[in-house]
Amino acid sequence: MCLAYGKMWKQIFPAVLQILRNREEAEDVLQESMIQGFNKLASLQDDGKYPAWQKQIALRHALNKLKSRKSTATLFEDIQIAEDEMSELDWSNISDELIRKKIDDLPDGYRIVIRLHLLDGWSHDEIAVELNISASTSRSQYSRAMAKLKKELTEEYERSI
Amino acid sequence: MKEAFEDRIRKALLNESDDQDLMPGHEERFEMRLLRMRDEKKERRIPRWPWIALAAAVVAGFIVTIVVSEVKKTNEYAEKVRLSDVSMEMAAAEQFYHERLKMDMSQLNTSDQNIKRFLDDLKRLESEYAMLEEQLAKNFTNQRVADAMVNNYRYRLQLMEQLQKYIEIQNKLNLQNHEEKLSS
Repeated sequence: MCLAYGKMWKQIFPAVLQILRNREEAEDVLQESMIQGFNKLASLQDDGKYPAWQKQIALRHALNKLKSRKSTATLFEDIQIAEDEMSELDWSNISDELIRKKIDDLPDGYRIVIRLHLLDGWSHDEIAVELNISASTSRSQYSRAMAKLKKELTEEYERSI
Repeated sequence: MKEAFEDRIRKALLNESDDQDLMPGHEERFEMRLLRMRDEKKERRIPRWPWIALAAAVVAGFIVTIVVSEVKKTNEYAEKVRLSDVSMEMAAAEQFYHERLKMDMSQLNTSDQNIKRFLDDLKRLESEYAMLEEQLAKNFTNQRVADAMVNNYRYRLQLMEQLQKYIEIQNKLNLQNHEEKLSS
């Protein structure tokens, strides 16, 4: 495998898989986006930005794939979360696996805004453009997603003690 | 001190890449796709950088037009027409292209499928160009041959630019890999 591919897939694949939640589709998107990246190399002004640039291409591919099988309206279901008074836990006691599992169980819209905003550093304006929603929708989905995640993790933690 | 919720989530997501693996045969499927794409490209041949393509086409078109008329006057019996055979100006023009297309290929890692793909395409274009030179010598008023030569220059320049960019990125990633190994 070429070095760029060998180096990049580990950075890109988890993100794509988390958006699509389908391994076969995620691998397909990974390959397509790497090929698209290679073909567009000449348009890249700063070589140092290659990893971030290549990842952006892959994320956009993944989002397009998701949109092709699910409309944006159904992607962002209006789920109301009762934000009860929750005590702040010591989050370091919660395992990575449990956190990732709970994120995977979230509805698509929630999972995607967490991924793009928190980890990949996309602004709500950028998310809005890519997903054809408003920036305020992205913002509210993110807060609701984090609230839901916090609630789920707190309940799981309390059950375990 | 308690870790902030967002930081904890970010950390858990960042660690996920260590647990991932690709399905068996992924690499072979990727290489098949690259090969398929190369075949499709051969058929389509659409220029990707309009400005470079346009500039190269104008220069090459100018050269070919002069070559055609000069060759007609001076070299009725040549088997192959080279730009440098025509005049000093044409020799300079050819040198200009040679300089731009010159690159030391001997050190390239041909086990990398992308590099191999670039090199194969370049070789193919070079042999096509040689054939065009022969055809131009036989029929130097044929506009289609002249157009094909223009296109050939354009594609080679595009490929070289892309290959150079690819190698630069590979080198940077190599260096980054090396630094990561040293620091770990």
